[in-house]
Amino acid sequence: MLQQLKIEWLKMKNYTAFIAISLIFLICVFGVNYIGYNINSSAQSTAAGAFVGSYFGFPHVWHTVAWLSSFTLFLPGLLIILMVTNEFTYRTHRQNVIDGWSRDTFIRTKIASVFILAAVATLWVGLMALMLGLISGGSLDFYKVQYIGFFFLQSLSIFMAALLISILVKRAALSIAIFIAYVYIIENILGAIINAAVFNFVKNKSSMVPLADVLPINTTDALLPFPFFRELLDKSTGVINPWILFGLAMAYLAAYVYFARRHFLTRDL
Amino acid sequence: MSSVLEISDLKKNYGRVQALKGVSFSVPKGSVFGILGPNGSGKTTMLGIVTDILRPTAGSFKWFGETPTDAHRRQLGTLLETPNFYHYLSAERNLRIAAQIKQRSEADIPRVLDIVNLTARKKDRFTTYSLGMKQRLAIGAALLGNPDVLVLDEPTNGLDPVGIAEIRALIKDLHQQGKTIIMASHLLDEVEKVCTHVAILKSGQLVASGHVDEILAHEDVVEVSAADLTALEQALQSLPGKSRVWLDGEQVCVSFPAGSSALETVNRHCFDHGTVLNHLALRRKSLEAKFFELTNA
Repeated sequence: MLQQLKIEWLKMKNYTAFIAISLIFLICVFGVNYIGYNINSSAQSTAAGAFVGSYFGFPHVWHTVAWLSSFTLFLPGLLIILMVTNEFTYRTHRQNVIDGWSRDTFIRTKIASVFILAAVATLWVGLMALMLGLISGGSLDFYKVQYIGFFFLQSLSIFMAALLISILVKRAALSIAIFIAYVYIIENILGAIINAAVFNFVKNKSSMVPLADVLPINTTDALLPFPFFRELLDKSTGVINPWILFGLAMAYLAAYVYFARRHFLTRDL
Repeated sequence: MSSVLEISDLKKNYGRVQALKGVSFSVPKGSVFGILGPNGSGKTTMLGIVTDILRPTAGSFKWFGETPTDAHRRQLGTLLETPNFYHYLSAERNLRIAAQIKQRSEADIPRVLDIVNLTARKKDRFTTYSLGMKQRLAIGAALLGNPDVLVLDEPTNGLDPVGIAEIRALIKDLHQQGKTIIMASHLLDEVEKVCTHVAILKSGQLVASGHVDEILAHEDVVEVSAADLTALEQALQSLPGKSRVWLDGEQVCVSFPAGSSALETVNRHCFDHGTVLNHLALRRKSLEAKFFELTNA
């Protein structure tokens, strides 16, 4: 696999859009967290500051930075769409197979690249959290570091969805439109409909759970919830057990990989 | 003679369209094997199947007498339909990727760039290339690692006359070196000029296949011309060994059973019968006529 990844790197390293989007992503992750950190610092210096608390000190910083950074994940998602649809546009997916890669090698290399991108994104976010945590003072504390792990899971989930869409759609513009629309709009609408339906059917509101959280992107969203003012949030409804969410997220991941691979292995290229 | 590629009863449907309707033939080692057919006859579909980018509906094929694997494909140099390269990378970087996938040495890249005359442009991005240069790069990529078998789909597509002549010379040269070349083309004279064997496809069916001399020439035709065509035609009627004599525009044609023509005999015969020739040439039975005959049958 190392040999194949080296070839993938040869394909990407001189691709201007790859370099540009990667840099924009790294800068954006820094940017959103730095802005968050500044707002938090200035809020703390006001009269009400005592009630705000520090979200950038250990151990909260892991959760805060992971949540804030998750908004930038569409950028590497676009990168994956370009990485895959370029092959279809240039018909190099055919050439790779003609030259002696198996179809499975091709798709496995793409899947492995997605893992690497998710790992790199997570590493950067982890560093950001560590850095802001240390700047905020206080001693290093890894309690809540699992949120960095949930960030990794969310990256994988969004990236694999991007991979599947690109493999099925093959065209860059259409893939990007479907990806953005699904991840940021369609699933939220679906979720709202599902939750409204549940609200109407369930008599005992205290036993109600947000069923929309079982949707593909929402599973990982729910594992990485809104980090601020947790103590003020409405606790009248239940939540889905995190282990169930985790299991579902893994099942969706497996499904993305399975269908992307099966499609590429069986169709005419 | 062992065969490099054996195709048995290949079928391929695209929806309701039957692109291949059960094609079988085999490619002998060391041959220049032309696959000839009009547009849409299934040439590229067939090459796509044997290079694993298309799934056959039915039938099978063997490379080097074995069930096909990725390792077999790495032993081929293949150019299929269009030059497929990363547009944003230079020729050199594209070839590096191809070499890595084929598991061939990158040290061979300068050699192939030289063969296809792209050395001066090797650092330029693929998008800046003309159609002919793209085609030449694709041929260069097929030559990487000096493979024993080349699969070339319309290799002279987009090339200028000099480029076409160069590629023909290259194919002949590779044939001399004992390589097997499988070449699809709709250009008749291309096939006639370089191929030793030919398979003719017509709307997904094999019309004929075999040695190029057997398929494309059943008789020799000698063209002659003189100042007095009537006298010439008269004189040729008494030529021993001829099959037919007929007037064809400004010249007279004489046909002989394949391989039995002798230009000296024709010349001497005419001279002895009081006619001096101003044109004498051997032409095989017109390939075009043969092609129409085969594909319209």
